Amino acid sequence: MNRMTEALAIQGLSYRRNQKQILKDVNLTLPTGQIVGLLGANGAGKTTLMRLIAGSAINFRGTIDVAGVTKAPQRKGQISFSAQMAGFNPNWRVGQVADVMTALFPDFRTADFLQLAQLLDLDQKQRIKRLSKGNQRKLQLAVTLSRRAALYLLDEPFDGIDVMTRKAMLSSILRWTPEQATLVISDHHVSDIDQLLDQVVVIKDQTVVAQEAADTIRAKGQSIEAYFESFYGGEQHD
Amino acid sequence: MTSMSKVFWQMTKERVRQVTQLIEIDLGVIAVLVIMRLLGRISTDDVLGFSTLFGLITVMVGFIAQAQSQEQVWVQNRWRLVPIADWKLYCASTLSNLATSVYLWAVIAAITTVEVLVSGNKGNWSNTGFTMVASVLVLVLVMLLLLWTLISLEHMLITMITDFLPGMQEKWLRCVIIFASILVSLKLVDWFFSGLGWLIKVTGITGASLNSSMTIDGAGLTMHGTVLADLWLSTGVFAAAVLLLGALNCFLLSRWVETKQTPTAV
Amino acid sequence: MEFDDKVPIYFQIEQYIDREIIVGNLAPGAQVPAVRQLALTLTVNVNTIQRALAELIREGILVSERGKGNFVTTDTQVLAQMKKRVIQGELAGTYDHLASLGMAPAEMVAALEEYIKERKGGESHD
Repeated sequence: MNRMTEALAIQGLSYRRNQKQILKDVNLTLPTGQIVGLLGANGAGKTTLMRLIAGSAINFRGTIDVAGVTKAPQRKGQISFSAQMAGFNPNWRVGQVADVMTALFPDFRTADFLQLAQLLDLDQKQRIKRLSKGNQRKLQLAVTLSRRAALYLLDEPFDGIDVMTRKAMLSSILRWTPEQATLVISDHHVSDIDQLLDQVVVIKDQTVVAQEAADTIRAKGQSIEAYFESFYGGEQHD
Repeated sequence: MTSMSKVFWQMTKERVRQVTQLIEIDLGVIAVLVIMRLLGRISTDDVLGFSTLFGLITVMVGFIAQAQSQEQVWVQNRWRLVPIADWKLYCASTLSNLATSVYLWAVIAAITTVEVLVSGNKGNWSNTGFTMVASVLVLVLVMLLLLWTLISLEHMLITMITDFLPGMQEKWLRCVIIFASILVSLKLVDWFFSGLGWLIKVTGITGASLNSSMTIDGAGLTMHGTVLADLWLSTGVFAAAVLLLGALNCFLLSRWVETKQTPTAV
Repeated sequence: MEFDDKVPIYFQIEQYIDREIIVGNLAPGAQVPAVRQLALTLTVNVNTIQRALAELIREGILVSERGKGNFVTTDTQVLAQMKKRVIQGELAGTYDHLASLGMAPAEMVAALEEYIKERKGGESHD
């Protein structure tokens, strides 16, 4: 398998949970070195798709390859998912987070983490449970970007973030994503990530309904937000 | 790829730290008891009695804490997203609980021993040989492993079932599932021992060939003959159970058990 | 930098660099900042910057030197043509707007001259 071809290759992915069909027959291929927006309404399955790719969800049909790797343990080494901190002791301090990550993930770069934490204005001595929601999101981002992976998955990273913090986070993403890596950001406020995107993938009705280059959409004089909303025919949604 | 030893050490570090906090509480209680003794409010026997009791409580609370730590490993992203094979994750966690338990017991036993010696009681050190004590210890450790394995099986079955069935909001339904899966596990264990008994009968591993005469039948284990050999035979049986059920757990873990969903939009 | 969300960003970056050259922030022969640096400064994707630069190189406004980076061309003719193109782009917009108000070309020139006079006069009183 040529490692340099695709960051992500999904074929015929279907997934049920709690007797509900969440994703059906998803096919998606993403090249290396791109920033991809994963767009969909609340509950459309964006998080589930990321969980399946990362390995949090495992009971699926179809195939998932990341950087040419299919088997779960190795595949996990190619992916950095923003939810990978779930289960950390809330009493730990920001500084301790780096130690734990280093112990468990060979590709974690503490030096990068310290720089990112500084850029994002995170106090090394603060306990996780004392961090505001915004700061917790920043910490998640710092941890996610401090790993050297082929595929980064950011699930709603700007949820509840103010404008200035968002700018710092966007800057961090641009600065710390390795050149050949692909970054997938899910968001249901498109304008947050608009100018970073190489392409967008729209999830609706349990599957991928569209995959389009950002420039192609704009060349037609349409904003990505309008493009996304066109799938909902003007319905009101969050 | 992360190595099993790295995962084991991180798990053990965290669990030992947690258990040490419990030990500190125990020592605190003992300190209070000693002060009360020095003030003449209670007798030495009272001190010994209460502190032994509290030592037992500490061990039990430690056990529950470890069970929780273990459950976390199956259903939290911080463990399941580590680039390591699921069976290695399972082994690391199970061994880590074993190591932590040994640590806890050793410390509590040492504390109790110190108390006994200080109080002036000569204690009843029977003439049990070292081999016997060691054999019993090994058996107890293996039984502990079996207990951890069964608890893991519980957790995994519960997670699998709640993920499979719709709308598991009601707490009572969860209780029913727990109850049912405990029954299922016990039945599995029962079948296992019956099967083993049949196997032993069929292959002719009788007591005579092992310097023991232990029989396994529907009523359980009946021991005759040399106690030591019996001990080791039962240790072997339990160890086999640990390995088999452990393999089952690994299979369930890598095929069915998913992590909890974090509260972001689906 | 704020971008128009209905126009391809690489195109807006081309315009941005054109303007930087016209106003003199990027002198002829000067080195253009590295791709990653530009991406960070403007808060856009590296691929977008690369596409913009590729276009500018194709048009001859930028020159790529292997191993050294990208430089503004020293060809004054190319730069003059680019400046003319940019100015005409602005004028085209104004022309279309005024034409839609029903103004004839002669009216437009007069209106512009008067506007400039008033504005300059207003500025000198500040």
